[in-house]
Amino acid sequence: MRVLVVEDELRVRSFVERGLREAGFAVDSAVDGEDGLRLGLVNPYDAIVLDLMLPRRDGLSVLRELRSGGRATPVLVLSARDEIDDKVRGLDAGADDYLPKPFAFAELLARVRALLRRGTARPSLLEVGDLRVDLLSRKAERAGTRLDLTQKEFALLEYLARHAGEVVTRTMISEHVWDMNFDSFSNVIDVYIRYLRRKIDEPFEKKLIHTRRGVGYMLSAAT
Amino acid sequence: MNRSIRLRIALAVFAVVVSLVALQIVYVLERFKYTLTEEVDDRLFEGLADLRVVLAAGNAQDWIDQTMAAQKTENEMFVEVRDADGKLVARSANIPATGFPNALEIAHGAPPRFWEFRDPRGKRTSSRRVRALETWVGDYRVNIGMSLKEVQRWYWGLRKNLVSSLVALSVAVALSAYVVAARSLRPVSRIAAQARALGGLSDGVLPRTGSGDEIDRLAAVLNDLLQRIREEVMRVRRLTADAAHALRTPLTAIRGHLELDAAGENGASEPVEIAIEQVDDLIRFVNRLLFLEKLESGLAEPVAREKLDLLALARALVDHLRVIAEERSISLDCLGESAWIEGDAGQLRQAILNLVDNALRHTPSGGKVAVEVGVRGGAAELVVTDTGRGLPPDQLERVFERFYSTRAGSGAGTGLGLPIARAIARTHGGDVTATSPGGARFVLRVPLAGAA
Repeated sequence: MRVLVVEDELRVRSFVERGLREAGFAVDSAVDGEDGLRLGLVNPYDAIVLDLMLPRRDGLSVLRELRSGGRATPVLVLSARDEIDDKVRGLDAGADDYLPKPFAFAELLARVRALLRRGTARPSLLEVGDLRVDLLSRKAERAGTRLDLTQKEFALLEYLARHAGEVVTRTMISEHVWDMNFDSFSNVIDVYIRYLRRKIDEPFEKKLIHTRRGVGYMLSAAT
Repeated sequence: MNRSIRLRIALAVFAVVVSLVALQIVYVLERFKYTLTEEVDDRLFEGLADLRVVLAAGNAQDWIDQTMAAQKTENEMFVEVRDADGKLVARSANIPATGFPNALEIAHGAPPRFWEFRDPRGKRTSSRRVRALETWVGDYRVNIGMSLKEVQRWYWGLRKNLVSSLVALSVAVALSAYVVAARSLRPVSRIAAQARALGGLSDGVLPRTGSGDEIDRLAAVLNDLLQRIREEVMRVRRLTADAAHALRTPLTAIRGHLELDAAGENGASEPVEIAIEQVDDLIRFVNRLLFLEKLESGLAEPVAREKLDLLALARALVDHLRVIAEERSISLDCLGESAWIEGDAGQLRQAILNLVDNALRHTPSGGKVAVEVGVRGGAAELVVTDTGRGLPPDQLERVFERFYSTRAGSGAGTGLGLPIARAIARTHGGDVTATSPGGARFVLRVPLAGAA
């Protein structure tokens, strides 16, 4: 998988590049809009991470040119400005997702992965170790034992299972499981994670829910 | 406040007018009495001149009787004539048997003397005074007096008139002073109302009357002051916003690198985890500050206006938050009636969350936090009450100041939750206020849909 990062801020670009490489992507980078547009038009990227405020040519213009040049590459827009109109303009101009700064890298990674997964069939049964999550009957069991989950707990488990092996941030959880994204809500998520642990992990020796302190949570059968 | 100024001006004018006019009245009355008395004295001298003639002719008693018959009681004369030995020569019939009370007072050749006595037949002393003149006419000692009844009547009549005019005048003057004061102070009321409406340092100036009087000049000075304060505040705000903004990129970078380290082969070391959490705190803080900044400077994204039921909004949020309350053995309930408003659901949720979060943090375990939604006074109202220690009166306003966070409680906030809640309410044309009827009570008011 090949990803283009267009970001003029060295401090941000360096960790995005590094992080994506560590996650197994091939990464190219551009430091201004012209450069980014040129690379984007020439190379067949699987995804593009595009900052909005760029020297020489701003991000929205790069995006428009890419789209009018026939490139359907999924684009994740970054912006230091989190004004809602930027978000709307970005999506209008053909962005596929939007991430305001400052962001957690785990979040950027998850969003990039989500963009890449787009269009692939979603399985109706998720398995993580001996945990089975059936999305059709909305039932979960571990080692053959049926787990008695509330709706919210199931939704949370489903989200974690869909991203099994990846760290998901509290922001991602609150946006996708609670459909809410605002300040101070993370305490609620911590409580639900605790509930979920009590049912999924406590009775068993092998723990599946892992905490990445300062980042988020991960459902994984690997230690 | 301005009512008392009006009243004070009116009372002061009243007092000044009453005392000046009263002094004037006393002076006029005394002058009047003096003039009337002089007239009486002239009449007494005239009588005396006549008496001198008739005494020389020796028919004093006849003259007295004739004169008396022609007299009105209002100014009747009293005459008594004795010889040098004190023997009665002639007297008017209206003099009692005891005679003039002061007979034989002055020595022969002494100058005439005026005095007053009370007509013993009178009922009321004030109306029965008699002014008398005692003198010698040749070898006769003459006492001639005249009733002051007419003088008294004039005097009292005038006095009554003057006093009632005084009262009427003073009341009229005080009333007009009140009206004039009220009228001149009306711009002050307008200025005060406008100043109150300005509230935050949003645009707008105080009304000028254009008359150029003291109040108009005051308004001009205040406008000038307001402008300078506004500029200063804007400058400080820009500074805060710029600083917060400038922090975002380095914070993102720091966080990113730390996170990548933490996700490395060996997992995160304790210090890195702590550092990430601290950076997250900073980022949250910066985000809140910038958000508040945008709300307060009126630069917030135009509030998405959709029709919302405040009760539904609050209920959904409370359902989500109940788990936190339960963890701490606090009962959290939401009740009330539907209240339809127009606004940005995300922002309003944030405002409600901040209020409930604040209440939860200041309520001891076993306590109770209640959210009640209703319609009161044409506005939607959301009331959050807790059973915490409450707020002293001097903190009811201060809790809405940035970074003001003195309420002891578990988990320190950033001191921005309540200011943000208020700023959101104000962006929606409402407000958040605090009272403390025991625990704390926060009221969020937003105009009803269609009312804004």
